[in-house]
Amino acid sequence: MTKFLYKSIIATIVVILLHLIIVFFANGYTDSIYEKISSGKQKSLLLGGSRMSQAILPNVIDDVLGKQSPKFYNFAFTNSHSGIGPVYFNAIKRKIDPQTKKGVYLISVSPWGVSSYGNDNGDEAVLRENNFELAKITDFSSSPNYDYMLNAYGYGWGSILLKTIEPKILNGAIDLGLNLKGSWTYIHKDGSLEIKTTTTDMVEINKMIVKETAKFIKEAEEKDYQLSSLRLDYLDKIISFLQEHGKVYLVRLPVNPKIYQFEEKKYPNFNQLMAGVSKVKSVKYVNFATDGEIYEFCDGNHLSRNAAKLFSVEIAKMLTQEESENN
Amino acid sequence: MLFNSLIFAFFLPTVFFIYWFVVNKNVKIQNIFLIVASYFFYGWWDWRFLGLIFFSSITDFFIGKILHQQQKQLNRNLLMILSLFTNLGVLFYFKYCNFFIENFVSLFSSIGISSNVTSLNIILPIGISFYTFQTLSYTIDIYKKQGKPTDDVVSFLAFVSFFPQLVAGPIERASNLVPQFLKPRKFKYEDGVEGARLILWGFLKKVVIADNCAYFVNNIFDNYASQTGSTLVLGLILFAFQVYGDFSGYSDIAVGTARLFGIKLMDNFNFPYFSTSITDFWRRWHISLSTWLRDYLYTPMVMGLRSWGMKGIIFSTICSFTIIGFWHGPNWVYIVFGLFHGLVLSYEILNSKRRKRWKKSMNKRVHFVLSLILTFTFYLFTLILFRSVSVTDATYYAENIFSKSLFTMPAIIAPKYRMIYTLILILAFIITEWYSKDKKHVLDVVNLSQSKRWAIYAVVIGVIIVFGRFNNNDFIYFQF
Repeated sequence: MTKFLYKSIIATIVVILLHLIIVFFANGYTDSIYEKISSGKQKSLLLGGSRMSQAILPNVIDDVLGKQSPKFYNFAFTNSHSGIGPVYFNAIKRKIDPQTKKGVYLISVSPWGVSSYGNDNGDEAVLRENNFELAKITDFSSSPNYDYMLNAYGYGWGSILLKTIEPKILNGAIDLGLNLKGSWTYIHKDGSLEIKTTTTDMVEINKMIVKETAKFIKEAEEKDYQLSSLRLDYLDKIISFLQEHGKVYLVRLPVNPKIYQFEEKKYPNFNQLMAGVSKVKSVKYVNFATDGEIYEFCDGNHLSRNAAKLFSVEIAKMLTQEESENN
Repeated sequence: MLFNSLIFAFFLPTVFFIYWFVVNKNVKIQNIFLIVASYFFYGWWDWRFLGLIFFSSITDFFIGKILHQQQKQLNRNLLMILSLFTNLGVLFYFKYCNFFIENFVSLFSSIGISSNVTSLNIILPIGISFYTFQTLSYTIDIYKKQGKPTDDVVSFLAFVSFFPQLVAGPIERASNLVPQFLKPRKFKYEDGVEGARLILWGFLKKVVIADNCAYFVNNIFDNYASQTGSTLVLGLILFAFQVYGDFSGYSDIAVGTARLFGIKLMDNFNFPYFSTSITDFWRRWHISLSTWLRDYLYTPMVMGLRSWGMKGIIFSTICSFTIIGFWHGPNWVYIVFGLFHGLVLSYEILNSKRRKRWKKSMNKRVHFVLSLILTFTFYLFTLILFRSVSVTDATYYAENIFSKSLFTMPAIIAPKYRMIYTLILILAFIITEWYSKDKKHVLDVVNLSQSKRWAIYAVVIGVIIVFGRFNNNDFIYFQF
């Protein structure tokens, strides 16, 4: 028994130590969540779904606004993870530095973020985000974040190393002249998400945009989204909470014109609805959704990295103007 | 509680420590502790059904005792019927009741008789098919005078509820397990190491092979209408490895865990994908179920139908395999799955002489490879039923396979790199199993030097850590 226990305990300790060490290598390549929930408490946040995650780059805004402004952090995930509701509200509450009083908060609003489909029809127990990572953790700011790794990360922890070297292998193979296709996501230190791809052929990219746009519309039609009063209530609660910590803006982000047309057809009163919310809550609502012609997209629904830089400058200008008007 | 959950990682060492260091002085206390641990293990899922396990166990314990004392055949028959009625009644109510209600309603409505009967809101208690068969075999053995009842109710309760095999087998026989619970147990180093090896390999099968395949299988089966024929075939192959990795992985962990407590369970798998016929396949796949049905259904049927000759054998084969199919779940897909296997087995029985002649006339290797491919291909096609929600869905899936797109390259489902890893891992898994097919199991490395053994363990642990998926995926056979 002693021999067996001795060997088992040694092997277990080695495996546990290995895991504890590996987590220190977790970074923006690990997955599209980890970096955002291991970056410490934040003062100013960009909130919403995947459109926001890629559209506004906190580093760009910080550069334009200068050192006087509180540093921004992109804490947006996806429509599935961070639909407006109790799970995301809880995540926001735990992410914000409680001492903050002069923060700035941009909430991306889209019809999909305040809508429900299928079973997710107003009952808090069956919301779509309940099955995803943010609902499984209570720690949104520690690094390393063992809460996330133990309760929400769905892979062996060794895959952290694999995912870190994978882009290097792929890039190395391309440098060697191999015709490889691949893409991977990377979360920057400011929380913004970048989808990197080996494809540079514009014809192929445009084809993909057409395909992805059609796919988005088809899936949205199939899911039969409906505005959710529960989610709208939570939008109200989130705004009220954020107002205790600073200034809140509602923004509707640019999308491919075809998607915008579809959104307008399905939700013809959405702008009025948001304007109403902004009036009741005394926050500014800015609709950029019609600017889809100006920017380039990586898939019709999300701005490309270059477009995001341009758009972030626009946002920074808007914030500067607001600031000067208020002063 | 799942074997692949964090809570089990705390549960197992705790139970192991108390079992060998705190309650080790007395067998009865050790067994009582195992019962408590097993009920806790099961209750972690849903404590409300603990009463059902206790009821099932205690009923057969007392029926077995009384049955053994009875000399009159009529009384013996009545007691046996009582046991069958109780066990199969519980199984019928929880597992099959809605199936029969729905089918009768649709049958009557097809002949113009409408009915207001609706399905019942019943939760299926996990493992019910496994422990019901286990307790049933105990009573049948006593009835057939092939086994004696135990006087020790604690050992019997431990036999039924022993946590490693409670929810998904192997379906143990009382003759193997009860005597082990009656004897004092001493920890043996070899048992501990063997158990740990089986657990390690079982984990690899579950979290690396099965759970990686599961992601792509779900993707392909959920969108089968838009997939090419070749992608659908790839989906089937991946499902074959998912279901094998999942179930045999569970069995390895179960057998390995039991070994840590000094209990030897029967083997449930013997490299089934290297079978050269469907008869061979069922000797290697879910052995505890196929031998259970052989001993308690097939053989008695064949004996009862002796006067029918070959027809009796064929009838018994088809009936037994249809029941094997139906055992898996209340759905026509499983019935048809079993029926197909029964039909092919019957074909193999009827043509055994001709098949032997073919074997003699052919090159051994060619015959082996051809048999292997044919067996696996047939099995793959029956898996369409096993994975589909309905026979209609299965038919559409099969139809979509046989299109021009069958001869195109299968689609690589995103994330592409993970699919490529998965296919490489499956290939490595097949090769490893092939070179281990004459051993007890893949990690039967007792004859290697210590450094080689530890190198192998390190590789297995490394593969689990790097490629494993730990998203608490249920084991497929829990639903049965």
